[in-house]
Amino acid sequence: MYNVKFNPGSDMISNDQCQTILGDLFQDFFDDDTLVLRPDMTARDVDGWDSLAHVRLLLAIERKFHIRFSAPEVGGLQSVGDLLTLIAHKTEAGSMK
Amino acid sequence: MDRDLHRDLSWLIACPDDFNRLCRATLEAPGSFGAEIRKLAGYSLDADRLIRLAKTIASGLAKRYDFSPLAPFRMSLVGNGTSEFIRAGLIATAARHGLALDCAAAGYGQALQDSLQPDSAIHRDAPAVVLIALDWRALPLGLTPGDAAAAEGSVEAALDYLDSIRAAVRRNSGAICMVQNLAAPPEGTFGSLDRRLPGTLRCLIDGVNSGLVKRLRDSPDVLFDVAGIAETVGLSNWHSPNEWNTAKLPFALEYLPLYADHVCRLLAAQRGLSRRCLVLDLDNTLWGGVIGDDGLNGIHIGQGDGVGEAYADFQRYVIALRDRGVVLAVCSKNEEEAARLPFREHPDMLLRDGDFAVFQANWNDKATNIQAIADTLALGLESFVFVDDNPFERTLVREMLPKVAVPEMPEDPAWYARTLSAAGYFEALTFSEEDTKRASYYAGNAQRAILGRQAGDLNAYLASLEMKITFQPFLETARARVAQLINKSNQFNLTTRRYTEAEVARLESDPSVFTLQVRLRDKLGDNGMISVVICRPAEPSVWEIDTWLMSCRVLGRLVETAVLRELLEHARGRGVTRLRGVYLRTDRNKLVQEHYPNLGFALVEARNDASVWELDIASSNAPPPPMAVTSMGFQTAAPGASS
Repeated sequence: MYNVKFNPGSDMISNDQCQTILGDLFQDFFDDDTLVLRPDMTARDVDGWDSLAHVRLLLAIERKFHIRFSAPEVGGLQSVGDLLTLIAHKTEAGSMK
Repeated sequence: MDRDLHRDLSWLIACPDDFNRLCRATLEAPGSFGAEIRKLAGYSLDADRLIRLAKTIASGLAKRYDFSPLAPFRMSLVGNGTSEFIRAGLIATAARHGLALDCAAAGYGQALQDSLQPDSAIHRDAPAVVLIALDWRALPLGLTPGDAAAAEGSVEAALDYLDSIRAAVRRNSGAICMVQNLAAPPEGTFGSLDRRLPGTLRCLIDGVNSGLVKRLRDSPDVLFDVAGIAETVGLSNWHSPNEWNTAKLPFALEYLPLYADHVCRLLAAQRGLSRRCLVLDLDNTLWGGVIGDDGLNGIHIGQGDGVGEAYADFQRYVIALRDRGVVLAVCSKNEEEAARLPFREHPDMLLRDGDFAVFQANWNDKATNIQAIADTLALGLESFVFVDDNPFERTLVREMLPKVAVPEMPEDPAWYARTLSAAGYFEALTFSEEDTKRASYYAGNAQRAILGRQAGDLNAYLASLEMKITFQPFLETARARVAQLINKSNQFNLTTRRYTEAEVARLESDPSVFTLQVRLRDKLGDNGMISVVICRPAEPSVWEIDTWLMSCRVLGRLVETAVLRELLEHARGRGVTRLRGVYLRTDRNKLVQEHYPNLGFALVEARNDASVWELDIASSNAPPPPMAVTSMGFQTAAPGASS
């Protein structure tokens, strides 16, 4: 498991870092050390990613990156790739978007 | 680390980082599954971890593991909104309270239907309790601002709806209903008028909540005060629009641990598992300061200063607990006379020593003392709560007496009452005159319990603390603290010689005098400087110990032995063959009367108020105490000293 430390809200992070941190989070959340993120990954590909898990996962991501998702943003997510793009956008320049 | 009382349940100890691994490990040890699950549930667990633990419990169930010593308990859950996360939270949290919980849930949106149907999921397994967890959205509350008659009708309709579910449950499974009251959403349409104008949502909900109290009267059913919990954390925090809109969570997920703990307290109370006795430390727990060192005028209690007021507030809370039937006991490391003094003579003390059923003030370890208290009161250890400001004592009692509840306490005494209240150890389902009398039945004479066998393996505990002791000579940078210890210590002080800072400065640079300042750290924290020793040359090859003092906070940890070993190293290095120790008796230092003989010194001379002891260095072998030793800054390094 990677252990990337960063200051959410004040550090700008690269897409690579974003993917690493998110990968960490997914592995811990789904309790699966072998889980590797792919941009085309969806909920169907992961055991235990049901609707309740989906809500909890998004809350965990909000906490980790110090960001807030809005309902329309969440509604538009189709894949892990979309999620990465959204997170990267919201963590740009450290502002609360 | 900023731990929020109600989000993190900060009276529980923090969860280790490898929680997932620990969960998996329980499944590999079927023989101790129940005990391990209970241990994991004892940590502060957020919603995700509660759900992880519930999955582990489900796995153990599927493999038909033995859950003892957890007691089986069956319940059902009837809620609107998403129930699965509540179910998981309850199952995991129940283990913290000694229960192996089985929880069936009503179908989504099927609250009334499943209650009415005799063989539905919620009745099938003969639950003991059915939790009716309906929030305001589930009840027929029509908004009719200004129309009092319609509003009253609305409230009655809502209460009738709850009554019909309760009646159906009673008919179909005979279970007791735990009925949740309503947490009002923070959105209002007027402002203050929302509270008093009939037919607003706020007013309707107030009506339902007070009506519910009336409807539950003379019924075995139990009120679950969710309104109170939501108010405590703040309605705006409790209700999360996003989480309801996206996932139909009736309250913010981050409050699942608190919600679940409150339900489980009521379940445990159902089984008579609530705790009954509160054991309290004294110094820095019931008053600010150390009575043995600071004296009656030096401790802080009441008196209009911030610290004193905080302790008075805590005492008031303890008295309120006693008045509702919680038995009180004292467990303090002190001379008994010193410990009782504030109760008897301090004008601002609120508690009196007669308020306590047992009063243990001695220098023995607290685990052995608490066991003695339990034996005296003929109560099992699972009835006890132990409150102490010192993390060393808390951790010791947790390890030696795992059945005793020991809350983590905040640094600031202003938060003691709130923390103890939030922990909810004394949840009760009923209250009667019997309860008020119980505390007095046990108390009245504040008796002293006879100590039995030592509880647990003290040496193993001490070793587990990873203590690090550091020895240095007096230094300018430490001068103020050295002077402070020299002038403040009264109890663990062999000669009570006082030196001014200027005199301490001279000792720093006097080559004939051997000085020692001692610091102690362990994995719980840094105790700072806790001991000071000064040796002076007497006859050739003899050192007389002019000063040996120590903070009482680190008693019982073999620090004295470590200090003696350090003295021996340096003495040998300088060709000293004998150590001479003097004990000058005062009315405060009875504690150290046997200090020198305990360390192997032989008596040379004894008078009324003093004794002189000697140790032949060559023949002395103090065993190495369980701590890492660092010795540095000495002019001539002692042979074999580590730096």
